[in-house]
Amino acid sequence: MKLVTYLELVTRRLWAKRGILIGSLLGATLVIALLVVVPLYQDSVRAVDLRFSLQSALAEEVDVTAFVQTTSYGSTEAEANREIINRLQAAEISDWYPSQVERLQTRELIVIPTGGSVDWIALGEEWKTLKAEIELANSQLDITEEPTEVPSPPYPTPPREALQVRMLTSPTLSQHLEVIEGAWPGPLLEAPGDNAAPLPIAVGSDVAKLSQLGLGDQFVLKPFTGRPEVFELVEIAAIVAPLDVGAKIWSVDDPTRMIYLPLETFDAWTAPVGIAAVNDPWLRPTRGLPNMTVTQRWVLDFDPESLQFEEVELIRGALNNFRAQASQDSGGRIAANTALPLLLDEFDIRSVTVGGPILAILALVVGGALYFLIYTSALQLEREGPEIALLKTRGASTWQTTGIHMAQSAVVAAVAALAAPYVARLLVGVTGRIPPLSDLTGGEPLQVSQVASIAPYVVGGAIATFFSMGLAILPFARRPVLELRSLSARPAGSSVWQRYNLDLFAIALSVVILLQLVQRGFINTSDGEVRLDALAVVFPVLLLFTGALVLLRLLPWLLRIIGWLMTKAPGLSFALPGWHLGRNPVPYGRLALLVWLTTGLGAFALTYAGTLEQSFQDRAAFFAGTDVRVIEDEAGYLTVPAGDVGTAVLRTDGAPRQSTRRAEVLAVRPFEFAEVITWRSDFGADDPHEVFDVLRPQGEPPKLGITLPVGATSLLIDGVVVPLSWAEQVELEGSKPDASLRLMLKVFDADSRVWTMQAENDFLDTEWSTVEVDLTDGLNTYLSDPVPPLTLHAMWVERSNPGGNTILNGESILIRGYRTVGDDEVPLDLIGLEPRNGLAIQKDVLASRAADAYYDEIPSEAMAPTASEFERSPLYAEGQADLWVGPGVRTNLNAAVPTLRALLDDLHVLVDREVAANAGLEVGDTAPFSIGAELFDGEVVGFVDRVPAMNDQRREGRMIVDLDALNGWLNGPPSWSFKTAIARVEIPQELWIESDDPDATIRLINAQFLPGDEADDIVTLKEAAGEFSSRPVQVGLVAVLFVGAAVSVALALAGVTGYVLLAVTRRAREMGVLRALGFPRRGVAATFTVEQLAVLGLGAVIGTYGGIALMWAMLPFLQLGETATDIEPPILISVNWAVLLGYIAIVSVLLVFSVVWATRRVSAKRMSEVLREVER
Amino acid sequence: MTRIIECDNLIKIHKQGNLEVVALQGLDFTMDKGEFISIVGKSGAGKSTLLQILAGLETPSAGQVEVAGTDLTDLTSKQRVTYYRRGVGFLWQDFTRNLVPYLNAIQNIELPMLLAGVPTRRRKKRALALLEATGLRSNAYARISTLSGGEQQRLALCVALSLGPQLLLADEPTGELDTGTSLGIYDLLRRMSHDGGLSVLVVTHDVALAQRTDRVVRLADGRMATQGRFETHELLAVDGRGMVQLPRELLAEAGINDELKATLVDEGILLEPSGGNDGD
Repeated sequence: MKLVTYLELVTRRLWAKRGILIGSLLGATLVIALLVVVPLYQDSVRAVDLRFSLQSALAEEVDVTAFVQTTSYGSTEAEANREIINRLQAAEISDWYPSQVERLQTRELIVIPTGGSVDWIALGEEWKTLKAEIELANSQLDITEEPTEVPSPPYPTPPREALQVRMLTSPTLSQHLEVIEGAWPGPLLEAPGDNAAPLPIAVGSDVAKLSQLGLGDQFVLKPFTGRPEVFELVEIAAIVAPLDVGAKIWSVDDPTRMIYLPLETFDAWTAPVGIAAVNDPWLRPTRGLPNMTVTQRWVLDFDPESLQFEEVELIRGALNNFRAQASQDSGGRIAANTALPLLLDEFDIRSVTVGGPILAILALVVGGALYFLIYTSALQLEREGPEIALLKTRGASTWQTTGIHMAQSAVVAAVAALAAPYVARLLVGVTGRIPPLSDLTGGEPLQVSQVASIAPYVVGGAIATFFSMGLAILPFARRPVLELRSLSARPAGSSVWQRYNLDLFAIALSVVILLQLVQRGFINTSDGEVRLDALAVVFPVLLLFTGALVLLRLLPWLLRIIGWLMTKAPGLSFALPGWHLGRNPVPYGRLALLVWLTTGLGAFALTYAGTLEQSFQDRAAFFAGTDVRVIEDEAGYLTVPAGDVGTAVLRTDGAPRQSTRRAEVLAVRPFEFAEVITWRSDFGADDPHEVFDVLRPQGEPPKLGITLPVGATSLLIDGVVVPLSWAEQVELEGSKPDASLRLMLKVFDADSRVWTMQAENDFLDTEWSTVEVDLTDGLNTYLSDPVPPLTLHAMWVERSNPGGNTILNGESILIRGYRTVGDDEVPLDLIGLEPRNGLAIQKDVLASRAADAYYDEIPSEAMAPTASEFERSPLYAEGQADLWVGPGVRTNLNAAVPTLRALLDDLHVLVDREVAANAGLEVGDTAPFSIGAELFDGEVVGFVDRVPAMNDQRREGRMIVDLDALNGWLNGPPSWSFKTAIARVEIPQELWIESDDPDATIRLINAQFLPGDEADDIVTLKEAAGEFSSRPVQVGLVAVLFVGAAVSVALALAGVTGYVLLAVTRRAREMGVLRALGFPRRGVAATFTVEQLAVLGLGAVIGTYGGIALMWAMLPFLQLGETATDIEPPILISVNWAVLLGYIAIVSVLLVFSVVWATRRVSAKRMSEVLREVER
Repeated sequence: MTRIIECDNLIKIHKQGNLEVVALQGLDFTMDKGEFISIVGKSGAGKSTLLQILAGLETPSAGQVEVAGTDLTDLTSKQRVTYYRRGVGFLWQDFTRNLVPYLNAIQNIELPMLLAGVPTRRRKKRALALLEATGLRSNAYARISTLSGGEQQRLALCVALSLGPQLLLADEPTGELDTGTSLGIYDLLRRMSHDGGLSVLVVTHDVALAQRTDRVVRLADGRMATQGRFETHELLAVDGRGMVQLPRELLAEAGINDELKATLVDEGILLEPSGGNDGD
């Protein structure tokens, strides 16, 4: 048959079937459009993402900063540099960097007032006169007379507290300044010459205030230079203030603390200005500020609106050119920096990692739409069976039959391919109008961006739709005529997939691909570039496809069972459809599959959106750790606002067994920490208390020493340094070291702050004395005084007058009468404190031992004391005392301080599996741990898997310890503190607060700081959540899902309505018979409705779970996050059943409506019509 | 005369699950070129099966069948297409199945020619000639749905004859038509057969219409029961149990209703109305 005749027939056929084919055309258009949407949407969302990233980026990140520093500023060079930057900006990057601001800034200059206590000008003038006089006198001297030496000129020298300022100028300076007083010093009209007046300048308001100078005042400006004659007399012409303190021209400087002058003046006066020396008080031949160190800097303003998505590569190249060319043209002097390329790199990575799911999801939608096409094409062909039979009996060969249908499909595909790009653009645009993307686009249509050609997608889509519609004819065309004529009456057989077990093969293939993906990872980052694995995109579709194939096997069986159950129900309305389902379940299986795809994709979309949202919240929670986390040097000691629950946290690092692999360490108060931490059951236990409370098995904070009475204000101890003998002292007369010893204490207060306290007086070797330690203050500089009750942790002594760094020299002290004084005097028992580091304590020795030692050896000329004299000695005391015996000479280089210190229990440590595996630790093991700078024994009391706010990628693993116990271990060891700086204290740098009103909490926290000195960093859950969930690419992903779900619902409705119409029309005979038997019309409609709904219900139920299963398949994509690194905490599927059931309810209503409508359309016909339908 | 159909010991067994139904039990049947034959018989007698075999839609289980020199027992798909294009035309009872609904009258006639690659001009000429011959010239461009049943069936006849087949097979072609229209169709078929030399084989239940054909072949239980015209001497088949089936027309002509009287006479058995009827 000639082509033209084909086309003629095809055209007639198309025209005749235009009603039905419109459905196919719409389906095909949708498929191709969805494929075209892939690049368009991806690009458009990326464009929004780019815009968002650029807009939210800090200016200093995206601006180009070019600078050149010179130590001998010259206007010619500056002009040349300016020309280079202007030229390159215009040539390379002006599209995106349309404007710039240039400034020239000097290094610090010293402000030397000329009036006041030292009038340098007057001094100069005096000197000039003196010099003239001396020179005159010298000129009159005889040769034999010695000439008088002319003193050096009194060049201005800075006062001790000189104000230092920087000088700043710019071609556009006056635009940035507001003159508060005076007039802006315009450019000098004449070159500075012999009689140049003082240089007129403008000063920032703070400069005027700090130097106490006003308008018209003069001062000397002197650069840091070795040449005393280089300085310049200036006069304040204006006092100025910045118009906008945030303007880029100021950079990080305070504009009120600068001095300004016009560029022309700056250029003129930074060169040596020749003057008549006689006019200068110091007789200098030149004035000006030559050889200045000046930084010429340009900030090229990036316009975030100007960079189109298509220009990303362009701007990269342009920036590279700009930087390279600027360096080359300036001989390597101009350096240009910008972080924009880094930002674009991050954007690229995000495009891949987030583009993956978009591709996969669109592939799913396309897969579903293709299934719809195949399904409806097959349905249509079944309906056309008699027509195909007729064609065959009229002499059409198999190829002709196939060809006619294929040509028809080709025409539909071609028309669809023509229309699809416009539909795709419309679809992409519309997504900008629907939430959540509308939040970012402001409800405007999404701007359609297009980088790559969409032609391959159009051609691919056309081919896919052509084959989807056309291939169904192949088995039909080969069927015998009689079979074709009776197609509608015969039960459907098994599909070709099942006949050749291709479905099992597809399942095996899916498993292989999954294993491959698990091994290879979903994103390929091997070459340093982040690329999406094509298999990863295909996998969800394959999963959907194989799932569908499995269901095609299973559904008929399930439907048979449902049918059987329905036959057991009373009433024909259930029994009849039950019999029908049981008899011919295969086509119903296909229908159920269509519904499965719809509800599945919808369930997937909702679960995906829910999971993503939950993950945003989880990530925010994991990042923040709690509602409000204050990070500041001593944040742990801030007061938690009333009504909130807060706890201090110390963050450091450590390792078990001195491993080189350092782990991240958090020290916490377990109970409070568990109360405030954001938690998820997969972090180790359902309740964080289960994980953390084991750090304090008894529930009590660790004992760090002896608790002092609450009202105690000082600690008193009686003591005496056991002296050298009288004879030894006489022998050492003059060189005897000062044996006075100062008592030192380590005390923890109620806020767990460690205090180093010292006694106010010494133990002497001349007499018994009572030393007193003030317990209301210490050497530490906290914001507040010690909060009682105090815990005495350690006591030691240091020499009051160390010679040669000798802190102790083997002294022994007799000590007794430990007591605190406050409201009452309370004796103190030191039980619990143990001597350490060589200190030995002998209990209950005779208090007279000091006197004994003194009189042990008497100088030869001296008389031994009588007993009464002995007892009157200030060294003598009755009774008993403790004898502290030192270990010998100690210097401040010896870190181990002999001390009486509380024993600490082993530290309880929670470790993660990685740390445990590295160190070979099990629960119950005791091992040395190094935490911070200390090493001590710790017992592993449990494992942690994940802890919020612990995700330092530089560390290997995590450990959690008790804050108070660690406090004892880290801050408890005494250090030589009396004459040297006290040891650094490890202070909790974080305060974790659970708060119902974070804003109020932050206000109250900041109120505890000095004005302008707020906390370095306050992390809030709310802010973090906003940060995480506002990424356009993720938001766009959710949008496309919803569009996909909507498309699939529309397709399914069309498919279901079509199928039901076809099914009930086919079974018109059955309906006629039922009605002839007296079945009411409504009953017939009900019968069919029940039957279809049973099928659809099964599809919906399976679809819901299928969608969730699909979500599981997509999790690896999400898990990668935006930067191709694993997301912490891992994403968990979050099924919002309420929303899901709501969606299913809506879909069900729509499906029920379409079924009822289709059924009623047929059942409402008159009997005669129905029966006539049968005959036809 | 040249034979156009030759069936020799034709057997067709249908399988329905585990059951085997013998539709044709060694049927011997021949038809000459230009003959107009009707096949009658009760439901299940094998009429449709025979027609489907002759149409090449079914393959016989055993026996030989040849139509216009084409052996139908083992047709390749190519041969079948050629057979449909050159050998045989079909006319089915359901006239909607004879016509493509989205084509108009002349397009329907042109369709087989289109498929066979007949040039446009010849197609048109042939189609118009057929429409003229069937009295449908004025309906050439009418849509199918606007034609009456009789017109549709006449149009279907045009379609069936468009490629000039040697044999026309018609399965109850007037089954859905009123008597007057049916007679018109049969007259048309007769004229085409007698004047145009077309061989026509019609399957029908209507004995009165069958009488308008040249020869009536009666099938019973998959075999030929009688053949010939119901004139003075009718040949009747006697089955194994001695049962004889008398054509209704014959009974009506003889005035036999529910009962008859059989009398053994020298020439054989005389069948006459029973006594009850004599009294009328």
